[in-house]
Amino acid sequence: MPIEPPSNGQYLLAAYLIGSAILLGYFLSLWLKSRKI
Amino acid sequence: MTDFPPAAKVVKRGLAISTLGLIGLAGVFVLALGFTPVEARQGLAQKIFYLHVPSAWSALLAFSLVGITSALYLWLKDPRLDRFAAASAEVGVVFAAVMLTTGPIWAKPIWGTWWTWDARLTLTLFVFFLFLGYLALRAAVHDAAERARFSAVVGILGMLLVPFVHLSVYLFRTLHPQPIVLKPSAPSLPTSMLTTLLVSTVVFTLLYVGFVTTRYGLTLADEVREDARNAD
Amino acid sequence: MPDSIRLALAIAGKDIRAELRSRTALQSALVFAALVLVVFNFARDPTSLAAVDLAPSVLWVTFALAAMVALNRAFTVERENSALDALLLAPVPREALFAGKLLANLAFVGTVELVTLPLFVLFFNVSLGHALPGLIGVSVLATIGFVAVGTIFSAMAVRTRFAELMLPVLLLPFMVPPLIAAVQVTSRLLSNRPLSEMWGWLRLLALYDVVFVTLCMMAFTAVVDE
Repeated sequence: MPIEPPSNGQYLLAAYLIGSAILLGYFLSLWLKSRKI
Repeated sequence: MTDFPPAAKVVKRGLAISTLGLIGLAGVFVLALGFTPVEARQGLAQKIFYLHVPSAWSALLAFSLVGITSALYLWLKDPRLDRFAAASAEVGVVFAAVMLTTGPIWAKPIWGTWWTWDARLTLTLFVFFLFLGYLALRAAVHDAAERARFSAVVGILGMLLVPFVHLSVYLFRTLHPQPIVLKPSAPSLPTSMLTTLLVSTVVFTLLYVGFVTTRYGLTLADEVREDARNAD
Repeated sequence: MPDSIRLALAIAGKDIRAELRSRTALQSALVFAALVLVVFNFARDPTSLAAVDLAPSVLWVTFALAAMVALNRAFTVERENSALDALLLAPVPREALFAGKLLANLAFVGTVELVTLPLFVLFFNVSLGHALPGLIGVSVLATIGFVAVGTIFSAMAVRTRFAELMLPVLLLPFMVPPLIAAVQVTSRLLSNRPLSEMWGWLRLLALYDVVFVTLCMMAFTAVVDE
């Protein structure tokens, strides 16, 4: 009988959201600083 | 310094590389979610792996470079090395933050616990605090030369602390039988998963390079502006 | 190089005499250590955790925090008297200067630990007896580790605006490996475990001391010289 993978997609969503938020946020802060040059 | 591109160009280049990296990141998401098989025993949450491991790699890369450029700075006294170290430290904190957030979110469904004092997580936590201390020190010292020297000392000492933390964790684990934590067995990765991981690592390295270049350029621009102001 | 050694001892002696006269660092650290012990006593639930299980951790956290207080005060007092600047003008090799400061700080922190220990025995009802020589040994090793890195960082921190905050932020990560090792050894000493179980940790401590005393000695010049 095939194994049913556990349903834990919400963790995946949380991790990807937070991870990309941090990276995007940093990029944005760099970009905003560059506008002042 | 005459052949050194002006700060604005460096920043522009850095932003371009970072944008490329971010597009690559989107690509990794598509790859991980759409084209990589779901791990039967761990489910969807296993895919956090493709974000968590490369960010650890970038954080550790950033940290090692801070240590190395710090040592080189104390030897060669080149301000460019100090500027690079500062940029690498700031970028390193960002990647360490990604690792320290995705780590527990991954651990909870897979291992059943938010945190565990295993070697990788413990070391990253330490590196995170060392980065924070380094950046706090830089913010607290105003004289540029003094700031560079002090940071360099912290950078070198920090780099040497890491093996001791690793040793402590190792000793602790060998002498203390750990409670049975649900650890997923680690068979060799199927090729598709390995490919996705490698692609992600390349993307994260690109992001590191882009971010550090931009940060370096911004610091350089600030210094040029300060010098111009002081010269009046 | 007997000259450098004599210099280091002279510098240490001067600092120790100055501290014995004013006693600022010693007093702050001792009062702090006693208070920390009292707080720990009230912070635990006596019904759930036996004192003897918690004892090694409490002792070492207290030692670590008291060491920080002592280090901070020692350098602040030094700074207020501008004594360091005068020393720097003289052709004193920076390694000797570091060694002198290290020895003086070891004396301060060692004294705090020596006075705190009986208080600890009193509050937590531990029987030392057989464990005492081993305890002194591990205390010396771990304290050297704390103080070596602490001396160079307090020299830096005292030149920043938020010195009291800067020292812990910088120093605490570095205190963790010696802290872990010290707690492990102390716990085994108090339970009368054989030496073989502590050997790994003791070697870690010794290695840590050798590496960081050497490194901090070499790096000291980067901190105090322009």
